[in-house]
Amino acid sequence: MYQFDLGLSAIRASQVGLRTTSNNLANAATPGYHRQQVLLTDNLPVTLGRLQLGTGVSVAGVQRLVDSAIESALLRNRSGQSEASTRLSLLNRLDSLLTPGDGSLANEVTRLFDALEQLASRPNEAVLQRQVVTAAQGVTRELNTALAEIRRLQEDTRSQTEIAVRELTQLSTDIAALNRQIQIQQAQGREPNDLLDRRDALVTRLAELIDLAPGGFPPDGSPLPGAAGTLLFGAAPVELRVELSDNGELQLISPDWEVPIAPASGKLAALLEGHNHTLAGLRNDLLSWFDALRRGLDQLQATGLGLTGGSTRLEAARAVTDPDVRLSAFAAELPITAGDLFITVTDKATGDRTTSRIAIDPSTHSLNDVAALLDAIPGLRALVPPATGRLVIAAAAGYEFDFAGRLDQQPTPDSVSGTAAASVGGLYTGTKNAQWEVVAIDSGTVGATSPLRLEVRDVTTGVVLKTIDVGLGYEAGRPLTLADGVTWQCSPGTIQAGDRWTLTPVAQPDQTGLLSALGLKSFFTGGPQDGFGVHPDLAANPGQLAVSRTGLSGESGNLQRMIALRNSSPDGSPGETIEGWLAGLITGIGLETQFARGETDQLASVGTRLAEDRDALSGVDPNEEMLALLRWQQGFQAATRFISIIQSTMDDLLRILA
Amino acid sequence: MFRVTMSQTLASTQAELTRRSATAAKLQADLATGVRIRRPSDDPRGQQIVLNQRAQLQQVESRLRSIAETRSRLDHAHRQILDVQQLFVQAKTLALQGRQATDQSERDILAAQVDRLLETLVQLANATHEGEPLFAGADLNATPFSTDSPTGEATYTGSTLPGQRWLADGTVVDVLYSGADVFQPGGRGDTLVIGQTGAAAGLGTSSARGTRSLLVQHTATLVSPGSGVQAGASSPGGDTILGPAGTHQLTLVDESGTGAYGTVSLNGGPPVAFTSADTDLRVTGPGGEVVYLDLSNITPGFNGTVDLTGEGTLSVDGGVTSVPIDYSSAQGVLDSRDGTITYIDSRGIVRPGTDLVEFTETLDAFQTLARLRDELRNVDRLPAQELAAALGRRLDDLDRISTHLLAVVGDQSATLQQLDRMQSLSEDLQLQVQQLLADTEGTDYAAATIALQEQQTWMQFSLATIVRLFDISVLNYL
Repeated sequence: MYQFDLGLSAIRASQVGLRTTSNNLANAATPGYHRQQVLLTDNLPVTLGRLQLGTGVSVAGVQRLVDSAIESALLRNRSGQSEASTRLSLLNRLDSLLTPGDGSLANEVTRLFDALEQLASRPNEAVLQRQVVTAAQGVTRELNTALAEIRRLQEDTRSQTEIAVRELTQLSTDIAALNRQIQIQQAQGREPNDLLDRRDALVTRLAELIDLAPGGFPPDGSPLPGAAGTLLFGAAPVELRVELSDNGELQLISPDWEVPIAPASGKLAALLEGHNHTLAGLRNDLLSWFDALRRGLDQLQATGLGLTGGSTRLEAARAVTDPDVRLSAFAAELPITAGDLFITVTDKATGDRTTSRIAIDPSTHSLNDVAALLDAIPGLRALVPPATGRLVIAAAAGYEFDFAGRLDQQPTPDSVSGTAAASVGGLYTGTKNAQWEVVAIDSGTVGATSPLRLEVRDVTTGVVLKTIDVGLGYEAGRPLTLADGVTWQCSPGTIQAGDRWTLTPVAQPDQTGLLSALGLKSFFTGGPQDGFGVHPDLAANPGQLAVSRTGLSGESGNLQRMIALRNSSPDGSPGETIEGWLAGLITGIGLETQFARGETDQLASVGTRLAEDRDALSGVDPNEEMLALLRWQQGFQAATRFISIIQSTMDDLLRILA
Repeated sequence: MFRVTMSQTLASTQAELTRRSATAAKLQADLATGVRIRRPSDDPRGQQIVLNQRAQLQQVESRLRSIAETRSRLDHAHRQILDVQQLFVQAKTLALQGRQATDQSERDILAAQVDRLLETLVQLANATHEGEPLFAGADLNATPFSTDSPTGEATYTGSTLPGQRWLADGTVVDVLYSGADVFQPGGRGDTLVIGQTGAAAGLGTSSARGTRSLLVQHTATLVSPGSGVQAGASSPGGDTILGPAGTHQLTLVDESGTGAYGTVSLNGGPPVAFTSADTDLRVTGPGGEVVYLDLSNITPGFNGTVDLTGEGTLSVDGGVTSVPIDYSSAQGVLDSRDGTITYIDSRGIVRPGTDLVEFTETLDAFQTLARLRDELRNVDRLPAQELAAALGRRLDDLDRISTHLLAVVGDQSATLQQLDRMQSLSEDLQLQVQQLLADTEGTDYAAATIALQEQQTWMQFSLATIVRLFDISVLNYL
């Protein structure tokens, strides 16, 4: 009864077709679903004499419509999109964090310099001094906030990384389980289309986490390499550990290899990059930026004078763990260079001051050595209490000290036999520390002998800076300018040829950076761990703001130096001013965010086009499927009609027999 | 043929709508806030310009505030100095009236007026601006001048460093003038010695300023050997002769031939009879000079002349310290009170006394008025001719001080002009920066409005077309 078999094969084929089409319709909106089609083949014919007659139709299989090249491109796109969107999310938060506005870090820095400039017009105005301190506190507050937020973002990133790693492990577990089922199905000669779709969906999710080898799972059932081949998915669950390295970098460790793995794309790549480079880099950049501002202001604050005059006792804000260890051992936290430190001790009763120079070499001197050098200066005591590790300097009763490097009122007489007393005055305006000697060329009486010349020489270069005549025509006691704002005057008396004095004009009272490093009378205190702040003494008494180089209430030379920091390019800066440097950091993050946004949009656009390409082959079109459904229905109806006709024919034959 | 599925069409439309919505939302925010850069990523380059321009704007505003503050202070000082200058014009009028006055009582009235001018001058010199002295240089805690009312001497206690103000971009101007520079100009003219001692201005540059009283005192008289004459008991305190040997001479006539009696005369003056019993004989010379002689041991039969040496001392601090007269052309006399030195030509000193030493062109504004007041009162009891000369010198001093004050005023005017220029430039810059800032940061309302309308239109078309597409389905025909 070939005819019945033939009809039956057609009915069966139509039923498979109807089922497959219905399944396509049911999954029309299922993400990752690939439409399926029924593969029909005609049955082998039977031979009747010279004739070969068909025997119906068979279902050869149900096939997924997949373009592996597009699928592979989509997988890479998903991985890239996930990486880009993760990066964008992080950068968006940084972008918001650094957005300039009222109370922002950029605004507070501008406010600080504005406050300093306003103070310049009235240096002794208490309200304006307080305004500077408040603005400086605003800078440290916003910096601390930014650093804390970066720290929180790093912690968030670590948490997200741990969650992503757990998800990766779960996905790898699920994929391995599916793989086993697929292999069993395939071994049994079946087409595990739905299992393959489910595995593809899991692989897509996996690709969003980490980079996978192009082309997806190999047809031979071998594992799928990921993370540039350092991981294999499909055979067994993949487990990773999230760790912080010694230098604070977030790492993914494979227990199999015990080495860090480096994802090339996907969410994990973005998280690691965000933690280790974007966030750590921004933190370091902000610290470098603030360090330049801090060093400048600390140094000027330490080497200037406030309206309250010198100090009677100072204690360093920063300590060393061992005061007997040479200072270079603490170079990272206490950047001190070899050079001279000038300290002036003033007798408060008489106003007489003496400036002493100590040479400090961090490669040979410990903090205790420095304390000993300071302690040897008359009128000073210095020590490092073992309990604190902090340098303490105190003046003897009736004295005060400062680091302004002011000129001694009297030059040092090296070889003087005349009776005229010499004194110096003025304010040194040079930019480098100098040592000058003043040598008498002639002998005679001040104001009477002509000529009575004094030659001023730079000891270092031997260059004669100036020759002055204190003989006839010179009014004893009248200051004569030597050079760079320094004046010289002689009392009535005699001068002998060869009389010699030396004086040491100081432009940089602390060449070593010791005061700033130790936080001695500094502007700022604290560090990145415990937070930065304005020195408590200064915060409590803004009158200590070192506006002056002389201590005179209307002299604001040091304040002018502070203001000059605004338009200077500090060491370590990328050739920018303090404000320009910060603006560069802010706009750098803005540029990165803008780039990440563009990258995300571009990848999304490419993804959309790839999805369109994929849907052109694998997507389900309900209209198309409805038409297919009609076609299968008609086929089914035709087959049943055929069987009915055959049955009717058979009945006709039976009636003949009956 | 490329297959298009409804699912993909919907997804594409949805993605496009999302993108359009985001753009429209940003445009709406731009229009609502008037600012198009609200976070760095909106326009990183623009953000950098905004940050730089804001900083520059703040700097310009600070500079304008500093200029205003500096101008206010400088204006005040400027007015004070103009007042002082006017005060000196009045003083000059009084001095001219004094020189022409013939009656001392008239000059006394003028002196009283000058005294009031001096008081006013002190007030002007100690003027403050918002509680801070205008003429104390860099020392704002000082009261610049303390004065000794009787003498008019003013001591400057401020700073010799000028108070400077920073006006951004490294421009620094002197705002707080040192009172010493304003009221105590540092010139020096000739030194005049006015008196009868024979002292004159010495070679060398004195450092004392104003005036000094030169006290010339006799300490001893030495008689050349040979005659047997000796200084009498009252000689150290009573002799009024000074000078090296030979300046003064005795003429001795031993009428007895044994030294018992005779006559003695000083500098050719009237002979005075003596006997060997005279041990402290007062002999007066033709100019009224006096010596006391001991004639008890004269050489018998001595007839002739005897050279006398008058030794003495010089002092400019009222005798607190003194130096022996060395009869040189440049004898320095120290003032122990202030350490200054006065060079005297002592070669011509012939008698003790008190001379007035005046260091011309060194009188400061206070000393000038004080001296004018004292000379109008003629406290030194100068003869009419010398008084007229002294008043003439005061007129010169008044002119000199006025000229100096005008120079200071000119200096201030130059600074004020500089401030004007800076203010004008700063205001121009402020306008430019504000414009650039607005152009960079602000919303272009017209462009944003059109762009928003464009987005809305696109969204409407997207929605309309997708709905039209979904209208057509096989289901409608089954």
